[in-house]
Amino acid sequence: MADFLQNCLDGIATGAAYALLALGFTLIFGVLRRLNLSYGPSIMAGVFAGTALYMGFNAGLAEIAIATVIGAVVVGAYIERLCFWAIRKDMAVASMVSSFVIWMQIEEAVTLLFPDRTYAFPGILADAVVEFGPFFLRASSLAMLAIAAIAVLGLLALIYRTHFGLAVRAVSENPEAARVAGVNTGLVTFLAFACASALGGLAGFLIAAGDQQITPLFGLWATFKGLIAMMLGGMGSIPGAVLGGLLLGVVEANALWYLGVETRDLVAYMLLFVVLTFRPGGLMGQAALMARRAAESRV
Amino acid sequence: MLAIDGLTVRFGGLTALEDVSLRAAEGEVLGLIGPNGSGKTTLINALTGIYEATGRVRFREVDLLGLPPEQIVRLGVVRTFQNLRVFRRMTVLENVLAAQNGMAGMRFADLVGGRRRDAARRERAQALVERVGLGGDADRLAGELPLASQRRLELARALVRDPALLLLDEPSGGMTPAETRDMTRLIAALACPGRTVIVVEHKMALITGLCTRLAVLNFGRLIAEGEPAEVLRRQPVIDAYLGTEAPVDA
Repeated sequence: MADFLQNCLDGIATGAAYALLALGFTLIFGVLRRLNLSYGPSIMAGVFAGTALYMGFNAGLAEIAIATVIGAVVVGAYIERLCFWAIRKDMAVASMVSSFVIWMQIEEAVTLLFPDRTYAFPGILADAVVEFGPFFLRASSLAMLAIAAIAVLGLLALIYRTHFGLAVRAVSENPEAARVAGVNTGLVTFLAFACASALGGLAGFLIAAGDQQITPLFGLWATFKGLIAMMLGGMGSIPGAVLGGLLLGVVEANALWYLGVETRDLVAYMLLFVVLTFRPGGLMGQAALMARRAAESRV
Repeated sequence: MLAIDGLTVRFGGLTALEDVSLRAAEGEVLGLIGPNGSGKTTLINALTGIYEATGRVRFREVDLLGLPPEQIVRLGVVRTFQNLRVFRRMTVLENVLAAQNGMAGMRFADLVGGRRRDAARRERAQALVERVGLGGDADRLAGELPLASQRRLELARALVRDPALLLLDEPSGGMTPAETRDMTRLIAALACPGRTVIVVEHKMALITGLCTRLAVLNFGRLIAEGEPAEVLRRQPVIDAYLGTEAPVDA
């Protein structure tokens, strides 16, 4: 039992980072109704910008974090212009396929600029451990959890408390009505994309700092984890993204402990399979899906 | 203030609107009628930038054709939809607030912060929600409202932009006679000097009670235009409705 709880604790810390990735996907999917497969690679490129700053100038953690976020936002903006802005709204598959192509491009570019497989990344409070009675948590995990929680709260405030958030919700719900209500959907989409990339950059920084290393394969990893967490929670649902991320983290941590590292990802996919079998819209997505269907049947 | 010349809309081989020329003067309420499929909604879609069209549309010295919808809205040309487009998962008040985006005098900083401006916006939205008679429902989700109230909400959302040209696409569609009467009264109260209203309708009660002038479309062409009672007596107008759909006396 103690093992299980300890695993859950570790899992929640990892899951917090997954939740950030899932939130980024959700934000993009929400406003565009299109998948951005290049989301992970854009984050990976951001992390490499941070690494470059670390290796080249021995920069501090804050500078590296900022460089990572800015790098991810710049690459994210590039993807948005190329794969989403330039392609018509009703060609969702074309956007997805081109985002896959840009993924390959980003990975190649990074591999050429950074020819070694693995690069060092500075850790946060590297070896410290915090104890809670019989349980313990690495200080870096605790920092990850805290920063992720702040980012999620910040995002919620942005979406539900500001005028910009109102515009994002308007575009997510009905782009045509939003345009006719005077919302500049192009700008809102671009800014939402930038927010998602910033969130992803932060997640990338936290994960890389936890691992204290980075490889170009991180892009693939981030896209997978983010997509799985989003689909678990429910496409387009913000609370669902958080729930999906945490659940994925906890399940993975337990699978790692009880079944070993080889089966960890298998268990994650099984979890997704089971959840989607019984709730095709994801854990929290069902209601949103139903509301949409009801709305469509009315028109 | 609105001058339409030779407006034509084609979808592939189909001509939905052909060579329509029409004027609307400042402050008038122009009724747009015609059988189903005659091009009324197409005309509104062309005016608001949703459909591509050829010809010429001048609104206060600005050419509207080719402008994106959100820019046309910012010029003061605002519409409602026949099949409602409220934001169903937002509250009534939020629906109206969302439509205040990108208005003149709004700066980038206003999007995220600006408490004082936010309060002013809220007050304005609240006032409009009350004006259309939804004061008691301000914090309800728009999707939960009955149809008549959703139509009123769309009207409030359009009004928040202080439109100079208000395009209403079947504002009483699906309403009971009592609700239609209320809506007619509401629209009549909205017309004012400096605001032109173009209303697409089937219901004669609303048309005759409201419009100062009528334009009749049939098969994408303008077949009559003039004073309502006189236009409705013209033979081509009667023919257009015969065998398709008679004007409803409701």
